[in-house]
Amino acid sequence: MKFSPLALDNACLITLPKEMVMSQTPTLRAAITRQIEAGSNKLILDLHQVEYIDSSGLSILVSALKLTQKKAGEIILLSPSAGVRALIELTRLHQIFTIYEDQTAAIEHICEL
Amino acid sequence: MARGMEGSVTSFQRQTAGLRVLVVEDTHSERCFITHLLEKMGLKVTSCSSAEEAIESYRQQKADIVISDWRMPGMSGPELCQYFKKLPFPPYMLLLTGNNLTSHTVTGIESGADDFLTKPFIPSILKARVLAGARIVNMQHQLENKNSELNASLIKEHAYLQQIQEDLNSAAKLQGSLLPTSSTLQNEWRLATQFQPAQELAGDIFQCLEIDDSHLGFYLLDVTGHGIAASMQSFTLAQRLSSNSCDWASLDPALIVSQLNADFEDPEHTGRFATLVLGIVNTISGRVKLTVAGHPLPILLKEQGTAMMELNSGIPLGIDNTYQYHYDTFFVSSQQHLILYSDGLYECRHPSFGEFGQQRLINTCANANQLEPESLLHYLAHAIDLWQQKEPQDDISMMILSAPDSFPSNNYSQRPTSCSTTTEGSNKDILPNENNRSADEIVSMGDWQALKYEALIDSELIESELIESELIESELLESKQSENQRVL
Repeated sequence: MKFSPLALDNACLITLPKEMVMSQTPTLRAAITRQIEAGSNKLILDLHQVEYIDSSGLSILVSALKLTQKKAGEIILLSPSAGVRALIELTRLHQIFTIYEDQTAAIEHICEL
Repeated sequence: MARGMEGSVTSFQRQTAGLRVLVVEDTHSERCFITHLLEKMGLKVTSCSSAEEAIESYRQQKADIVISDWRMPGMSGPELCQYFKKLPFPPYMLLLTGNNLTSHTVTGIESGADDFLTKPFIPSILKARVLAGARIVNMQHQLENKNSELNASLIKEHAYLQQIQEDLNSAAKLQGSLLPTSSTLQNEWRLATQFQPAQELAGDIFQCLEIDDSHLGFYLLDVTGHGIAASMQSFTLAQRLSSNSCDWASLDPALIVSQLNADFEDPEHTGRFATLVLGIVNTISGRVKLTVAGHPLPILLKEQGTAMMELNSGIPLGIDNTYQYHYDTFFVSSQQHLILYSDGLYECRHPSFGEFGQQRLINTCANANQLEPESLLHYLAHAIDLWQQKEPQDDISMMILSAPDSFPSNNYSQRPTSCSTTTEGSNKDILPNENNRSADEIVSMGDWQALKYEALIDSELIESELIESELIESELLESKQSENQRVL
């Protein structure tokens, strides 16, 4: 997992790892929660490296969404692979997440005032 | 200087406090001399005139350090060493030699001696050697104590773990006993179920209950993850859905699911959510009202055109507690089966061929659509078991709700009543593909079913089917690769 700061102080791009499964869930969730608590309420979760995600992996996205919403922020999912997108759509989470395919557009969106 | 000596004496006393020394020396004068020296140093000493006597004495009273002469009548010093070093907690061995020969050193070490002292020696050298021995003996004692403490806590931990394991097992039994088993329900509807938790406790739970004489309620829900936390959450949800605390009498699945979602709690803010499919079936008309919350869509099994149903689905429970769910209405005709399942069924992975996948699941169901529901579930469970190589990856729940072989004469299912919605949004009617068979056909199908069941349940056949699908996939992969090469 990688945290890259963006032009806006409270914005951050988080590149998520290849596998987001149950065994990694607590670590990943704690790291993202810490980032949000530290003031980043506008996040881009970059999913392009994620090859496999299960429902507990999805719960990380949900907890991040709920936490940023509580802090009047926003979350964008970036470039999910076909498999990951299929799971997001199957669980209907695309109804609550904004999904971008293009990184520049995602950054522009999240950094606009 | 005097103070320094005093200091070293104190340190020596501290190091040797409580240690017992056994002196083995056949020459009377030397034995007395060494014993005297050691006693002057403040040590507790026992002395013997032969190795045999020493062994007997050691049996009566253990010693921490043994100082033994080399050459003695009977058993020699090195032989005594060998004897002691075979004991589980041997004493520290200091051998006295009359010379400085290398061969003696080698023999001594090989027999297990810890140190040597060449005779004649001066008292301070003896004292230094005893001190060196005392350090090692003390260290050994400390290690032994630590070891026994560790062992004690290990035993405690082990007992604790065993207690947890037993609790888990009984919780798992309780969970299993709460789930409905295959049975015949009202108006000849039938239920078949299959449940395989990945660990002791599952995050899946399902139920089928009687609302009144003509309505059954049913649901299958899957809480994120598995294990204790997920299972507690699914218990809580199931409790809310139990007939006493839930408004099943409203006959409105959307209302029930919206209420359940509004009450969903995630106190740890883990983002845990649950997917659910919940329905109410009119057992006289076959009309089903179904609400889906982020859950994989049911499969409608019929003779022709087994497929995943096209229904509206809302977001999973626990994400937005103000969300309003809707329901779809459709009919299950005679001899059709509604299959509900958790994602563990098709998300299980084969090490080289990946996910089982929904399409393969549908195909497997379609191929085996003549099986009795119960047998179909066994067949699916077996295919999944082979796919995930007998290592359960996630909880697997399956439930088949089957319409009776024929409905009463007034066939409602051909003329669906328009459904009035209690929630906003569009609920759509899905017309059944009606096909009523004659009694003869049913009988002949029964024979055929038996035959097909025998063939299908043959594990070799299933394996060969799986291998076949693997071959198809690898062919696909190859053709893709060659395509890529052409592009390059």
